[in-house]
Amino acid sequence: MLRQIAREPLFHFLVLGGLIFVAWSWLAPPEPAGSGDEVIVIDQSRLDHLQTMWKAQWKRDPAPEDVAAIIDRHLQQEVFYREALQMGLDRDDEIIRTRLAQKMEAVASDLSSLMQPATEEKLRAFHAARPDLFTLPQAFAFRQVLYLPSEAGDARIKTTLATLRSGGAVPADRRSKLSLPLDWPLTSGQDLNNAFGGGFAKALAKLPVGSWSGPVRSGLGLHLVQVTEIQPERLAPFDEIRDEVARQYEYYTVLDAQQRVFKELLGKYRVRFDAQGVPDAVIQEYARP
Amino acid sequence: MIRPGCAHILGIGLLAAMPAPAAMAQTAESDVPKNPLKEAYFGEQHVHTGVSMDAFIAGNRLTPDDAYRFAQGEEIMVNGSMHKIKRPLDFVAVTDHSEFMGEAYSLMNEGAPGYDDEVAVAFREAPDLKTALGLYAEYVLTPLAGGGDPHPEFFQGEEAIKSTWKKNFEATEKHYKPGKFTTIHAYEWTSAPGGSNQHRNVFFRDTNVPDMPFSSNEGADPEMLWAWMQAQRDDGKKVFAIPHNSNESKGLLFAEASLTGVPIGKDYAETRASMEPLIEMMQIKGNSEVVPNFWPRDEFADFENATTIQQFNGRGFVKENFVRYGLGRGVKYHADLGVNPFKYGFVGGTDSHNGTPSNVEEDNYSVGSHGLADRTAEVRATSNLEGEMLVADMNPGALTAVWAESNTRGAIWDSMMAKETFATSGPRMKVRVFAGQGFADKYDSYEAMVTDGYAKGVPMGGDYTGSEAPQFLVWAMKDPIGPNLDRIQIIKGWYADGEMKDRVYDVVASGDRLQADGKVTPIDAPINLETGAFNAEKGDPELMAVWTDPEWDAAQEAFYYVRVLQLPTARWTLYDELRAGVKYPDNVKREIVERAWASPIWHEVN
Repeated sequence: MLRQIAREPLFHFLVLGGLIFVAWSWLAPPEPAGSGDEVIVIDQSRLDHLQTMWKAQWKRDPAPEDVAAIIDRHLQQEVFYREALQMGLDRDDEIIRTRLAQKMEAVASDLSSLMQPATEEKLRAFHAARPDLFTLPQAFAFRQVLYLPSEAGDARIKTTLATLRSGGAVPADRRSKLSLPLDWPLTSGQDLNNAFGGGFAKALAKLPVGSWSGPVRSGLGLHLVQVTEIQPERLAPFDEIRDEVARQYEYYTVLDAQQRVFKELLGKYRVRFDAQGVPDAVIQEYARP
Repeated sequence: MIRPGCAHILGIGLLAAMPAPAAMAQTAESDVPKNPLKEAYFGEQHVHTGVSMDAFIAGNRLTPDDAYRFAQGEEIMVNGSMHKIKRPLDFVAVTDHSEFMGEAYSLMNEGAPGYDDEVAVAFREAPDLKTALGLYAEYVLTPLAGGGDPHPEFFQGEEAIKSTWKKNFEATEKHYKPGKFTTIHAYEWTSAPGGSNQHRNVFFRDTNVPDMPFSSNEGADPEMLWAWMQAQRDDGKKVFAIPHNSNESKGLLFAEASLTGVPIGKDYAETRASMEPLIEMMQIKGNSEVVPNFWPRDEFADFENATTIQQFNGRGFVKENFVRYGLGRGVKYHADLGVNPFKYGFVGGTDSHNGTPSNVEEDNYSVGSHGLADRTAEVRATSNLEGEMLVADMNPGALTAVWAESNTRGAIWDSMMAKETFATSGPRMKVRVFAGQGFADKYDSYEAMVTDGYAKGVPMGGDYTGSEAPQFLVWAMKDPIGPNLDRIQIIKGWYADGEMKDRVYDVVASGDRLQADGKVTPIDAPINLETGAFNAEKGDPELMAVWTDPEWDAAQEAFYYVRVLQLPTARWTLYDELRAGVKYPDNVKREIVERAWASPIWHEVN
């Protein structure tokens, strides 16, 4: 998401504008208000920005008289805006409050990302701290031969098991019973439960590795199974899933950021409840002695 | 409020270089191995993200990027709680509304022109559902109903629409993994003249897409959409459309005349047949197959009928709303005009406005599907989906399965165009159908059966052209995590003596319950009302049969489609009651018979 935004020309403009603003404030601090000679600068990037917005709306290049109108409107807005600030009209305006708070939320997310850029070190720490996200479940590789529940009493199950144990081939009519493959490469327990029905992985975990055994019951029927490998549950090595870790890191960093910044900033304030009817839990959470 | 995925003021990712995903995907697609017997790929063909303005107003801030992650099984923050589906999907098309896409750009992108407009701010900041709905009525419903400038004042023009469409495009490209996970470039054209739902989802085959989607603001008549699609085809683009919610169409989806009142003629029929290979059978706002009032002899017609739709917008049910009627009317048109305008194969979808593709599991419906309107069990038990229906009457939505040679955009799109698809009401059962001559009663293997099916017949979605009574080779297997199957049915519709007729045949039933007279002994396999568990003993995991039409008449136009029924399972409403302690009205169902519908096979005379 951030990267997509980073490629928006408008965004580039805003970043650039922000840098220019910072530089300008540093080089030329504004005169105190009300002195009668406060400066409003229409520089090239400001005018370009105004014209871009105008073009987006009217879908043509502004004529000279349009440029006059654009500047006129901008100046009027700028003067009113600055005077309104002087008069404190921004205070206790619900729209301005929410808008500023919302900007602060976005700032919080970005600050957090700035303070916690996805460095190698951070990613490794995140990888270690969130085994719930990066643990590979127990996995099984095996061959299976299926008999439907209606064939449960079938003598063939036993004879087929004997045949398979002595190295014989899978009977032709079982090769793709129910369109299910015979051979399963290493597959996670969860995926197996989805493919065979609940509890199948648990049953496989109890089987000997290497030899044919069964039948094992699944949501589909009865299986003769030869487990060839059981890979225990393990944390995926960082180097194998670096991109995945980075993706999850970005997602959870943004998710956590506002809450964390909010808690930190809240520390600067003391909340006092004078009102009645505030639930105790809320008072416990926010009120400090 | 936490807003992951929203725009940011500072540029963290400014220096990050992006590869060119489109070029990479195209190369990779041709390297994916093909299975000529085809595999069933399950996915979503209808989902909205925060880019759709109505979804945004209802509280959705998820992006297409988030939706594609959710589809691949990742856990995502949905309306304030973390949520994921049990099984990843094979493919997804995000179908945001093209109407107001430009507004979405202004709404969702900090710093975008229009972002700070008063109305945009109001949309974003709507503190509760009531405010949000007021805005929705004023800025979405009223303009959609026609009259006046449809765009709110913060609309910044075509460039904003293009920007949104481009962002959706980029997310769709980013997540395409040929052979593993397919994404399809798509959007929804949303027109509801006079309250009649005429909505269509528009699907593109590859990355050759227009700069800007066509919306109902430019043209509210489907014929205008088709004209635009024809212009796209003339320009080398590959595109088709899928109508949905015929149940909300006031009888106008399968009408006798065009929207402008011109009786349907050959040109109209040819255009429509060419542009629209598929129809959405079922979604969150109801199943459009049949309703018991008009099909009293179909004992399984009473299924997710969403009857409270009729209480809103004057959308009373008429027979002409339903897919089975539409198929029959199409057959009659073929007899009269030589062209069938309603030659529809089937897909299913959710139409979720939560950005959560195929969140269709009845036992995993904790976050609902329409933002604030159905976010918790408490709300769901008592509320309406404003302007549409009772929430208790909604369902988690349906699923599309496509028989394709590989999990790639090209293969899936081609199979959809060829109608080799089936819809399910959510579960992942599989169904195959072939119509032809000379099938065996039994096959040594699944491969042998499918090979013979293709060799001697046509698959679902095709035309039977033989001169003798067709044989139907039908096969179905259960969803591995669901209950066993009850039966397979074939629904035949035909046109004779000036009348459209249809009949449901039971073709094979589990446990040899199909009697000589064609009737099936009902299966007694109720769910456990204390836990929601289904009966795991009865029924069969696999059913197969060869059925020959006993009333074949080579001179009659006909369609045949297969319906597969599984044993009863608990409805999401029961899980809400068991888990959240809420109580639904007594007439709300707690138990359902989930099912699959395979695209029809037609017999056309001449």
